[in-house]
Amino acid sequence: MVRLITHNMLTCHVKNCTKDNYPLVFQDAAVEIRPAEPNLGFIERFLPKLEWSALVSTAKALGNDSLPDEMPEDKEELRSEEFLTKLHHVLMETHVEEGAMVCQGCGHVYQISSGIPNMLLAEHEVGR
Amino acid sequence: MASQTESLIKPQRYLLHLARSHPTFRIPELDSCACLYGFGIRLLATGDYYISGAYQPSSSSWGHELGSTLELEDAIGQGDSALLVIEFTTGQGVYKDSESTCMPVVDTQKTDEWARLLTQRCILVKSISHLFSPIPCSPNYEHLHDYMRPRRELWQKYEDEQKQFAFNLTGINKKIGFPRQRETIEGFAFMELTSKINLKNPEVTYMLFEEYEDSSLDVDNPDSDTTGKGKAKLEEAVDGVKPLRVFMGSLVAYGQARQLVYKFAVKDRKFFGNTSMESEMSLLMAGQTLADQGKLVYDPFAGTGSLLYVCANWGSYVMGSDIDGRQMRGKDKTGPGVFRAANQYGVRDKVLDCLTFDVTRNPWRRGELLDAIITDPPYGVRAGAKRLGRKEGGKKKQISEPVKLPNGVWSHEMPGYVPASRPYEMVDLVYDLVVFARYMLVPGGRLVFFLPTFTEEWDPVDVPVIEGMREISFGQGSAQDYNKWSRRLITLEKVKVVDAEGVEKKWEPPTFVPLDEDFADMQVKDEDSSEEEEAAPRKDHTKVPGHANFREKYLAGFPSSAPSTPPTQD
Repeated sequence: MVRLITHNMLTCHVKNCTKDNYPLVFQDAAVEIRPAEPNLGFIERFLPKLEWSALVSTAKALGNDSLPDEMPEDKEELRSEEFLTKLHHVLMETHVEEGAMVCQGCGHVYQISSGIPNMLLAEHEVGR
Repeated sequence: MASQTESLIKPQRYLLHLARSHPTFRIPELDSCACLYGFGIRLLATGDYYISGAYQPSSSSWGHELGSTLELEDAIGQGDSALLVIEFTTGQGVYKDSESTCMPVVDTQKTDEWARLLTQRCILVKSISHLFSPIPCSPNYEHLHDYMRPRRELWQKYEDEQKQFAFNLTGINKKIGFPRQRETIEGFAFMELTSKINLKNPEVTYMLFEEYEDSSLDVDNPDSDTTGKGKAKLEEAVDGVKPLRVFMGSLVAYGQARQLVYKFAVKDRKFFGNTSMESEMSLLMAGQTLADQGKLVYDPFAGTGSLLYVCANWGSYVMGSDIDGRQMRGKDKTGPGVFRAANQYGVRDKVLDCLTFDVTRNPWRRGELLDAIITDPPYGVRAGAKRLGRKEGGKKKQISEPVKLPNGVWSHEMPGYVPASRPYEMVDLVYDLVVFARYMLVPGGRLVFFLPTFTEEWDPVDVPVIEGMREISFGQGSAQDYNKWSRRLITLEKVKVVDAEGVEKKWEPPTFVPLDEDFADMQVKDEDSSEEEEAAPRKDHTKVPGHANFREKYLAGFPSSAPSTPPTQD
């Protein structure tokens, strides 16, 4: 668990941490690939909500360089089965089971254990 | 051909046999299914009650006419009858008097398809038939026979095609013994059926329902079985005991979704907690979210994940979070409990992720990510809601700098560090949840949650009303009643708000700033000082909600001579 789709939606939320707080960077990641039944309509609908560069850099850091640096501008290509299937593999089938996600701004380490990330803040990071 | 011409003029009417449990959830469930698949439903009759205009003249007048849909909604919600008569219309969802533009749909092929969708999706539907009996019902078999005799067209089409048939007689609140069943069915000799009887695989099933005085037994709910002996048994109808009313129709389909109540029964689940919600209620909630293939549904108080599995069952992707990660993990060493239970139901694939965090300090990057939010917030009876931070005025002040321990390690980086938490008052939680949902949902997305309330103090305005969120409710609303308190199922839908230039309004994330902690101090708001509600301080609620200080009142046993203002905290 911690699929890359989830990772793409998460940002550091420590009080006053507003610079370089996204994306969180994986550390000591134990990656597992688990086949999942594709729903390409869902992927297509999710495209406008993706942070593309964050996804590409994160996938690369985990050893997957199948995605282009820029999101294809050609609408046909975006909707093609080939492209969406590639994206499905990165977003839905790539899991980080153990390790951590680290904020490049404040340095907070979000631990991942048995696939469940601990996104809780410490008392001094909460604010009022 | 005669019957075909007639069906072109009149819309087919359908007889729904419904489960006895949770009658206030009947209309919402039908409505949600109709909204999801894009058809309309008009409620016509239940038990002895019918809406004016739906009545069919029969040999003797019978039943109680109701003047408005709202009265009929109440009658259905009361649950005195297990039978409901509807017809299908254009539009979306269950017809309301205020939206009177819906037209009946006369294409029976289409409406049969919609009826089948209801049986596949609605867990309270036991069967749907083409209606033979008059509206609202027949008080006895003589009445029914007299009504049917001149209306051969009801079954002639099956006779013309020599469809092999069977009769199915269902007793409601009573069991009908075999001799009595046979005798009753023989009473229909006047139909002069010449096609073959086929009890195993009939091509047409004539459905008969006899409804008796209410029985308090809840025979439908596997989780309510306290005897441990399986299903409770109904009493048999003996000689001299007559039904209150009878209904008849020809079967379209039996309810397919109802078996999910057994599939998801908590007692058979690999992983659950002492606050896991019973399967029937979880499924009803999931129906309200319009969960479907390729949607994304989120539970911010996921606990042991009960609500995630049922939404995933309809094909949605689901995510859960909880401030207490131990709830999701469980104690078993073989992996987190939520994933094991998801595996058991074959929906592991659909559970995107489960995360530990406090939703008032959440890491979501942006809004409008979700199609639905479903949650049963911990309202403090068995386990109170918590949020991060320390209570104001408590013994220890909240620290704002990290603490280094004597051994040189930051205290918050020690293994097993648990940050301080404080109680999360229900009124704050509910308000925050609605504002959070408006930010996180796509337009048309739904927030579905339980709101506990002290029954005597309940008022519809207790549900926070904010611009951009619309409540969906029928009759008196959907509630599960306990003795002095009840929990209400609230369904809110995000509606598009467009400004004067036609630009869709985007909402800010909630601030999660607590409401004034002392509810006794709350002032009645001046109506004409109606500033922008976003700018208005939140203590300007017009009334103390029925769920304020719920836990304190629950633990105090709900004093019935409750003061008009609830006791203050501490």
